[in-house]
Amino acid sequence: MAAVLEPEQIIVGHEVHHAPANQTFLQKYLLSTDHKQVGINYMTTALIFFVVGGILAELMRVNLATPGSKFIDPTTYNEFYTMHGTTMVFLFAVPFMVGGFTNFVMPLMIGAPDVAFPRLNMLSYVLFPPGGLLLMSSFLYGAPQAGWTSYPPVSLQGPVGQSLWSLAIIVLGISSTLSAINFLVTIVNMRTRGMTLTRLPLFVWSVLATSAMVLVATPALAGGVGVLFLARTFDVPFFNVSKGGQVVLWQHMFWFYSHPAVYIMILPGFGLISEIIAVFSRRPIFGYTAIAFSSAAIALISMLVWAHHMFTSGIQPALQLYFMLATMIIAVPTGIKIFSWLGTMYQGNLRLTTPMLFALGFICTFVIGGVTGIMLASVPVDYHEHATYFLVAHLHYVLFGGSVFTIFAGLYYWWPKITGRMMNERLGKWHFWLMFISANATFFPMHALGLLGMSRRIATYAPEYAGTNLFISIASFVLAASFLIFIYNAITSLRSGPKAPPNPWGARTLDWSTESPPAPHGNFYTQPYVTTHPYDFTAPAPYFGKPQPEVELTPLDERELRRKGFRRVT
Amino acid sequence: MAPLAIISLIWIIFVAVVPINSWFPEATRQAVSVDNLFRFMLAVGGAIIIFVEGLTLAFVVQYRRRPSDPEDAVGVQSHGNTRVEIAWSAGPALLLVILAVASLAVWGDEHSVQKDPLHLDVTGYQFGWQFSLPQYGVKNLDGVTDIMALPINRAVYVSERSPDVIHSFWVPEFRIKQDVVPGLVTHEEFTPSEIGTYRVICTEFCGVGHSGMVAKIRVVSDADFITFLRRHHATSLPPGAPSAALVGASRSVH
Repeated sequence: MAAVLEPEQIIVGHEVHHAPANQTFLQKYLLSTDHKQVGINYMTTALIFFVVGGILAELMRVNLATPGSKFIDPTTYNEFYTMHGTTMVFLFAVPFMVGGFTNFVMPLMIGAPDVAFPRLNMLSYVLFPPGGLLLMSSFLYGAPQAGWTSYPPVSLQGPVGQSLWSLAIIVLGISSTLSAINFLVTIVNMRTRGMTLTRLPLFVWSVLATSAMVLVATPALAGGVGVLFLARTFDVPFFNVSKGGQVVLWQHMFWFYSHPAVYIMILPGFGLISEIIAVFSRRPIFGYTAIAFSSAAIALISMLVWAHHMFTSGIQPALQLYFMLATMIIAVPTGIKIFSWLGTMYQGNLRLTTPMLFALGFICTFVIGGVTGIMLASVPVDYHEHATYFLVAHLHYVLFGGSVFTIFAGLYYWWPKITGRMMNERLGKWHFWLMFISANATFFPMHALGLLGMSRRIATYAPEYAGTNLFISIASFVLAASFLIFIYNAITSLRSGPKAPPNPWGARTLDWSTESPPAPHGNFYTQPYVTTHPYDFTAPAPYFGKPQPEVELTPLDERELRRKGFRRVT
Repeated sequence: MAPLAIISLIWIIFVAVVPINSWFPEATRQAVSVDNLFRFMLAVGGAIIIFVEGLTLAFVVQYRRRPSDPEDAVGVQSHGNTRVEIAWSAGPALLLVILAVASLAVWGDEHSVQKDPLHLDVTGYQFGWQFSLPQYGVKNLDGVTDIMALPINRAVYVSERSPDVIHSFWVPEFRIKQDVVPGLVTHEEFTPSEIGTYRVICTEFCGVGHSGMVAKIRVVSDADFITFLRRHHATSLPPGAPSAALVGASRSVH
């Protein structure tokens, strides 16, 4: 049995080192091999693309505010909706979840000094901005117009930008596949002493499941997109019916990745919500084993349900039935998570901080998205609702109410650890309420629009939908404004926010057991070890960071405090 | 719990009784089944949403930290409850089985082979439609200047073709759509049950003219259908039509 290490026995692992002096900006930041900096790089780049995708959406909503609007021409509208979807999926949600949070938090949570392959990690990030710029460059040559789903034959007709789109997706796919390999090896091999799989924080479980999905599914997308590129550039007749090709082949290849992709965009979010709800309810997560298993179940089943996006595509009836049943099954592990989170709040001692509010807002919006997902899983209902605004409502409830809300929850939660500063709570709450109300106002009416006959991907619509569309457009502008509150909060926090203590939220996971931010290379000053599960709020919080000096009160503070009735504790 | 159950009950009753047909026609027999299936899912789904939102709100109110609580106050330190967890796994699973069975029933109705259906050929192209009734020699109506008519209460078997890209043939009031796929002939079946004029909308992005790819289709009485066929110089008529001479074609009954 290893002896318990005293804090004075500072152990420096061979990975812990000091960065060389005289590094350029490029070397120190963009080319950093430290997982924390790589994570920050991902999050910053992804947030920039979030703004780009959001601007595209707002321009679309301006056009959709009135029927027959001449604000933008149909070709431009088609480019905008295609690039909005592609940017949000491949340049925001996936990089933020997989590259951003996972990189920064996961090694800390398992007590590791870094990921298994730090230089590979740097390569993963280095591929991301060029892939993004390649995608954005398509605007210069005629952006793709066939949607982020890019179905041929119409995507074969598209301009050069469609080919640039294909190449960009391949580059981004390589980036995330390399990350997945890195994370899987890290979690399997580099957990600190005492960190058995049953003591793994649930965020790490979600990373395990997500990385498995990324590893299996992303190469399939690269293959499919590569095939599209060959078909466009060299007329290889994969999709050319007159030469024996099959049009629906693309849809199978695309959705085989893109269905797991939606779970890739949400599963790390589920994981961090588990952390946040446990910490701010001050009690162990309810049903830890069930939540861990459900992450694995979702990862596995998500690979088997892709053709529920193709019920109307002309696939065999028997296949439609199979995919309907498989899709309905996936609701069970997801429901288990939602009920477990509610069970965690039950008999807890809730602190309604901004991260907690975003977590609760996420539960409230995601359950609506989940219910409409079950409706769409039913083939007869999908025959009516597929490719209408009902679908647009569903996907935005699960992607905005799901991914975006969990991303903000995680950002507010880990902001002190990442930046060493505290965010302003009041601004955070304004951000939350404004975003929560306006997101529901934007996306809820779309259900009715779809049921009543408004199809998706149209630049103009029948006059009977005008009033609702105007309402939605106005709500979406409020939604955009709510994000500005976050930007203001972030900037002022970075410039002059209060310094963050090591563990402002009183969490028990190892990511909070260092100073804020953690040591640049190596994270911990002593070898971390765990002896219990990560949600024990009766035990003292662990600390393996730099020894913190006692906070000396200045004489004026002490007088002030005595006047208010405080006395020094001896 | 009890107030949430009452609200859910009110919701379920509302969903069950609210009339849809009067403001959004259920123009086929299948539309009624689809709407009933949707009502069922809306009722159950709405109840789930009411419970989840309601419990979230209730827990936030009841278990929030009071200002008088000490800084290190914690909640109950239990890890779970196996019986509860089994219940909330098995319950939804059972519910999903019921939804699957209900969906299968409607699906079977939509895919059952009808006796002597009316064959409707739909061609979707960039950017318009063409409708034909091959049994009666009515060809290539565009649905805009010349609107296809279908007789009420006769099963329709649609065959869809595309010469260029994927489109999707959707009449919202019929509640069924199927993509029009190059290289395939796709099918859908329905039985119109309400007389009226309905919209045909392309629901799969097909290029710059996608938003404008709309047409109309009508459901008419049997007598009006005969009139329609005559007006379009049909080469034959349905059995039982009054025997008047057809223009330039021999009389044959299919």
